[in-house]
Amino acid sequence: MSISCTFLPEHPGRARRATELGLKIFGVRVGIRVSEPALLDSLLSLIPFEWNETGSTRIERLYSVIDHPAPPGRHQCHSILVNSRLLAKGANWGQLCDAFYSDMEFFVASRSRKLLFVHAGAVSWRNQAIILPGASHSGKTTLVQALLKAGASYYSDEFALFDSGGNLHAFPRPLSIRQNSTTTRISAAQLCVKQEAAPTPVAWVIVTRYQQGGDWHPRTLSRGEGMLALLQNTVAARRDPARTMTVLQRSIWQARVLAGARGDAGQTAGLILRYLNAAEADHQWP
Amino acid sequence: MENGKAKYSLVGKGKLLVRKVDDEVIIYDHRTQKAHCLNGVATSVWEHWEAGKCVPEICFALDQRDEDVVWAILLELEGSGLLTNRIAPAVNQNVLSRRDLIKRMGLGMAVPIITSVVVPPPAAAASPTTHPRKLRRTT
Repeated sequence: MSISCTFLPEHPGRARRATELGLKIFGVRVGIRVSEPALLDSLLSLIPFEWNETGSTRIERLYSVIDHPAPPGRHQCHSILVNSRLLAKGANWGQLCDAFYSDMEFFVASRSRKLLFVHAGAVSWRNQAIILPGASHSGKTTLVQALLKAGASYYSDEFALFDSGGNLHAFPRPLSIRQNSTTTRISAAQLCVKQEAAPTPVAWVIVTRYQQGGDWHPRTLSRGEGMLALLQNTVAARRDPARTMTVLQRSIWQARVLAGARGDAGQTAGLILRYLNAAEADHQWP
Repeated sequence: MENGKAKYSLVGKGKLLVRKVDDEVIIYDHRTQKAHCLNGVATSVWEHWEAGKCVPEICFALDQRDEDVVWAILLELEGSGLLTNRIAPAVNQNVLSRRDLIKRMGLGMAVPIITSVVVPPPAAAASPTTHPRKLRRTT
C-alpha cells in the first residue's frame, strides 16, 4: 500500500521545506515530517545504513512529529504518528526516537523488495559468512558479540540481509546489548571490530539458543532443515513466500548447517571457531 | 540445484510452493502457513505419487520391497496436507508407526522424514518494537 503525499515539491524550481523529507531505504520509501529541522536531523542521525532522498511524492509510510505545548513547569511533549496513527507520545525525546527507529526498521525489513531480511546475527570468520538465525531473546547478540571478541568481523546482530542471488549483505547497525531492562547500542567501531561491507555467500548456518548450563554439541542438519530454520525467521515470509523461498534456497546451497543448544557465549564462540577451523583443515566442503 | 540456479515447481494449483534443496524438498503451504522439509526418501515417494504412480510402481522405482514403508510415508504426507492426489479412503493398509517405519527404512532413530514448522507472521519474526502506551506516562 502506498500513500500519495503532497508535501514534497511539485516542481523542481521550489526548494524542499527543511522539515519534510522522503527517504528510500533498501528500496522502501519512507517520509518524515517534523515541525523544526533539528528534530529531522535528530531522527536521521539514528539511521546507521545508507539511504537516499527520494524524488517521488509517493511513499509507503509517513512519520509525523507533532509538538504539544508544554504546560507551565513541564517539559515539552511530542507525538510521533505513523500514517496518522499514534506510535508514541511523551516528553522523553530519546525514547520517542527509539520508537521511531524500531518501527521504521521493522517496516523496511518487512517491505523491502531489494533485500530479504532474516532475523539473524551474522559474522564473518576467515572469509566465511556465519548466520545465526533466531527469535528475540535467543541470545543472538550475545553470541555475535562473543564471536567478534574472538576475532570475527561484523555483519549484523539483528538482520541477515540476502540479495536475489542468496548472498549475505551487511546491516551495519550498532549492536543492541540488553542488560537487565535497559538496551545499550554499541557500534562495531566502538568495539574495535571490522565492519564487513562486501556481499558474500553463506558458508555456515548455526541454529542455536542459550540454555542455562548448556554445552554446545552440535549435530549436522541437512540444507533443507537449514532453509526451514531461516524461513522461520524471515520477516517477509508470509507476505512474499515465493521470493522468500527462492532467495533462501540460493543462500543455503553452499552452506553447512549445525544445530544445538549452547551455554556461555564466550565459551561457545571459541568452540564454534575451532569447529570451523577443523572443518576447513579436513577440507569437508560441500 | 544446478550451477547455483533454483529448481522449483508449483503444484496444487498455487496452494503449495516447492523448492528443491539437494535431495530434499521444502514445501510452503499457503493454506496453513506451514513449511515442510521432506527428506530424500519422502521426496522421492512424494514426487512419484504426485506424478500419478501407484504404490507398487513407487516401490519398483525406489527399489523398495516393503510396500508398508511407502504407504506409511504417503499417510504421513497426507496428514501434512501435501498430497494433491489423495489416498483412497477405502484402502486398508497396515499402518506402520514412525518407529517401525524408521527401523524398516534402516535409518537412525533421530532422522525425521518430514520436518514441519509454522512460518510466523512478520511481527513474530523480528524483535519487539516499543509499545506506544508505555511512553505516554513518561514525564
